[in-house]
Amino acid sequence: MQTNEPMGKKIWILIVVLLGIFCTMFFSAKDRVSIPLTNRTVITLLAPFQSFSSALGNKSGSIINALNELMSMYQENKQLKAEVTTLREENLHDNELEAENQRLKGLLNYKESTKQFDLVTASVIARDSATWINNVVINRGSNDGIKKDMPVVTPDGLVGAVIDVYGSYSVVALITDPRVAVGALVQRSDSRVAGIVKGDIDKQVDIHMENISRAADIQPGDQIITSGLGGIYPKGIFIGTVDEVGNEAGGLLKYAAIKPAVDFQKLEDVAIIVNSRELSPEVLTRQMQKAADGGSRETGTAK
Amino acid sequence: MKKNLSWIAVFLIAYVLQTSFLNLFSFKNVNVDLILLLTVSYALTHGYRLGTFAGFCGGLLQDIASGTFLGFNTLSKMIIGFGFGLMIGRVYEGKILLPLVSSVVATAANYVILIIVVLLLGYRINLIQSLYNLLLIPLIYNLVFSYFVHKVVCWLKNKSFDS
Repeated sequence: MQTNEPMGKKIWILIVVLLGIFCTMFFSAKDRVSIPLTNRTVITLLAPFQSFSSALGNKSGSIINALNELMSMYQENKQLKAEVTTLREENLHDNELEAENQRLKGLLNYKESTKQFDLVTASVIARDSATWINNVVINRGSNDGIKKDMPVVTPDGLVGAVIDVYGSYSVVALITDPRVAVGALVQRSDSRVAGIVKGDIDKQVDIHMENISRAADIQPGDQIITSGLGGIYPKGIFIGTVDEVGNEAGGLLKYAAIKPAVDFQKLEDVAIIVNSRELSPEVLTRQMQKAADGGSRETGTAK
Repeated sequence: MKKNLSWIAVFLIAYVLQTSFLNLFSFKNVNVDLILLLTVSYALTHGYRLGTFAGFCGGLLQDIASGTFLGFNTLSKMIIGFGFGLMIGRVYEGKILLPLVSSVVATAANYVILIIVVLLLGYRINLIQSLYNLLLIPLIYNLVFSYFVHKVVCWLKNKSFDS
């Protein structure tokens, strides 16, 4: 192992040197000592290297700064993307709420304008994917007072009837189902032709009206409402508009292709008629008067 | 001879680096004192005589090149070189803790010496502020670089230049 040699009188030399430096420093501080040319020489010699090293440092600094900026931009980008996703989700949620609000408002208006019906609102929670235009499942059942054969409507018109009831949900057969038959009549006061509305089994049209005599006064544009016959559907619920009138195969009867009032592909909220009362003669007169004046289907019922 | 020239080159490179390239990493205009670290490691590995001489030369280089009071750094580095040179034979230069601990002690000693000198010169200083700017920050910088500087010194000391 390396060791120090004995100090001896070297310590005195060191003390003298230190004192010398101390004095030089004090005189230097008072500007009384300067070493001509030394500073300039040293700086001149070192300057090129310092300049090169600085340039290298600046270059590295620029690269580090660029990397820093890149990293911060990356972070910012990530943050902004997350923000965009959140805002999109919020926007989607808001739009959904707005649409739901509109639908519920429509149902509420319908409820208020149809005093003769006691309605229970429900949401469509499922469709049969194989025959989705025929049956839907709603989130109300026997616990909510729903019973079999209760009519289901929307503010636009007739949807169908409840065919199966469970505790908290029910199955609704739509009027587009070929197994469903609805007693109907033409709303026009000078026609009032009666018939049966059924789903079209070959799906050429959604629904059609049959059992119409050849001489019956029915024409495209006529509005079809429920007739109240059959005991399931109350009278006056709007079903749809006549699209086309044609002769049946035997030639004795006519049929009418009907465009349903309800868009079954966009069915989300419905109302179940749990109770219906007969309208008072005054209301009936008023409704008939309105119908005669060409009153249309603002609320989906004959007025 | 080659070795001596190498040592001169190392001190010069250290000074050039600490005054230019390493300014990139400076904080509040405070940077690592490579000359101090070199002096300490050199003294620890070469003894008080060469340590004092290295401190004298390194400090003088700083004083002349930076234009400060002549002797300001020379004095402190020389004392530190002498003090750490006395430790030779008592410490094992291969220990990782040696450069770390010695850099902390040397930075503190350098600070104390410079504060005394500045006070003797009649300047007033804010002790709390100076503790932060002139002791704590350099302490961290020197601690970070001490191991690498010590490694360079040990490598150069053991390197043979015989052809």
